[in-house]
Amino acid sequence: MIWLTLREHRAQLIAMSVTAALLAIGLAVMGSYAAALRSALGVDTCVPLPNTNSNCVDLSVEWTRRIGPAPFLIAALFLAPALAASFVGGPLFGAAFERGTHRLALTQAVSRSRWGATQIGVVLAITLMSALVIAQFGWAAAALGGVPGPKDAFNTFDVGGPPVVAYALFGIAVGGLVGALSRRALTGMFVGLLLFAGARAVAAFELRPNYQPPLVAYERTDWFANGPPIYPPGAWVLHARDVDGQGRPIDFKELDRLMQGFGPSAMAGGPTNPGDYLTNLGVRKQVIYQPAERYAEFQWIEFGLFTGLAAGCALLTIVLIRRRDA
Amino acid sequence: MNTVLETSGLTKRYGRTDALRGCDLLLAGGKVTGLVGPNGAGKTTLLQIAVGLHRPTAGRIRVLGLDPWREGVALLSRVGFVAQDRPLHPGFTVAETLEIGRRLNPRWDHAYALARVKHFGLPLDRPVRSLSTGQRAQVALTLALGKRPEVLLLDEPVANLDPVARLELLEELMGVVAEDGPSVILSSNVLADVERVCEHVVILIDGRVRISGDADELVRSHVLVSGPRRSGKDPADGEVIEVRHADRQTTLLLRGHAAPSEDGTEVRPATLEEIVVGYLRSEREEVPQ
Repeated sequence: MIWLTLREHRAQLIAMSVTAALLAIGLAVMGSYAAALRSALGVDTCVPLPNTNSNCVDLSVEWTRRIGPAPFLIAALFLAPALAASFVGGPLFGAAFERGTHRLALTQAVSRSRWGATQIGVVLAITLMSALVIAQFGWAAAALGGVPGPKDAFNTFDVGGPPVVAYALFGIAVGGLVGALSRRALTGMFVGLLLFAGARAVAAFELRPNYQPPLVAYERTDWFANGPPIYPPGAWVLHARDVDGQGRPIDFKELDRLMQGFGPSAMAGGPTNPGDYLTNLGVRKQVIYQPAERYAEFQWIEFGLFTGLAAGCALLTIVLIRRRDA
Repeated sequence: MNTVLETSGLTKRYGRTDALRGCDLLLAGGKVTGLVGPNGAGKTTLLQIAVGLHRPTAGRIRVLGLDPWREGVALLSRVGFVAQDRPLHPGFTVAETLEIGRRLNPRWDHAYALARVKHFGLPLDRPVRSLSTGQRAQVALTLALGKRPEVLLLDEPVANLDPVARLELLEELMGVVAEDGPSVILSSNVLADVERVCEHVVILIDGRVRISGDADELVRSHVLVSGPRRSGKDPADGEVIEVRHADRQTTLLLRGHAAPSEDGTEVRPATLEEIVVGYLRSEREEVPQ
């Protein structure tokens, strides 16, 4: 049965493994190069000249020019699980049901459960190996993206570490489920991809910001002050906005309206600094963020979520194959 | 008598469509049985239920005494099946296709399968997609026969084959059965083929078994009576299956016997095709519009 599965999906499995290997090599080579070049040029250690930072900008531009199109590898890394979902997951059962070859397999002396479980199990295992390889290259993505070291780690959340593995597994499983349900490879590919993208978007925009209650920091609203941020370095800033005394967000129009009172107030002996004036009104800048030290925890939560979804889809597929007329 | 297939009240519903409605059937082993009937009569459904691909909605089915849905693995090591359109993996070579059978069946006879493939001159290293339809049919049949099955179920085994390939396949099939091979149940729309190879005939109409009987017996017991046109007069002793009126002539399909008479009535034996078509048409006319 394992042999049949490997043989049946040989083309897709080889394509997936080769793609993963090439991507890994590209990321390793270009990631190290980008990082080495960045430190050789001294982009991140650049000290701005008095009155201008154009010398540092020039270094950054030079770095970008010399690494060329290599940052596209980040996009490739981001898209890899989606491609697996579509091209490997969609046809996993869809193609067999469409061609009728499931009838060939299911009328040999093997149970439906064994057929379904082996098909999805073997493909998931090979996917796991490929995904484990490319999940090691989050650092390369960070280097290519000009994100040095652990600072701003959340920027590369989707392209490195445990979640990458879980995304790939989920992609295969959801594509497999849709293919088995629809009995069409193309439907499995397209709808599977849509569901994959939808789940990713919901997780990234709705769930991930709240894996733990975010922290809140306040600072003086001051348009001209340019001090260091009040939140710790590397934090994932979810919102940075002005709020009034009651903690309600206020927009620029509202702020403008408040500022119209600044002149008269100053004339009448009030604060002569707009920042002080707004602070007196209770206006503050609110920053809602997730601190950098939660990064690893969030990655494992996301890993758990998508691995769970993958397992759910795989089980559902096997149940479907067991129960439904073939 | 060893029974290979037994159904009682077998019913299969797909949504609002009844594919089988209370099908009662008892088929003995050691024979070639032909399953005939119009498209949509339930032939494919019956065969797919018999190999556990589909689950009956109601009723009972036993193949070799086993329940195909619940005891599929045990049953399928003893039953060979070729589905409609003979699904095969197009990218697999002939050798790889046989490898499926070898790896998934405990009773697989690889030497026999290889010998068959060699006998038909099928190149082992060619992908299935490059074979002719006739060659593919032979590969599919070999995959089913390699199990050394006790029963062979074939859904439209000769459909889409040219006349030569069709004949070869049927002769091959008869040869296999003759040498103490499996019992065969095949469905077909080509009644001449069924007449040639089948010893037992089952006529399925509208999801029910209309006739199940020995092919020779069936032919012997039916006659076509034709004579000058008349209406509603009982011609002889027996059951009138179908009456057809032409301009001046009436033809009856009769289950029973009739003798020619002086008024120009002719009696001749009916072919299996005429019998089956007669039953099909009679059934259709009975259905109220």
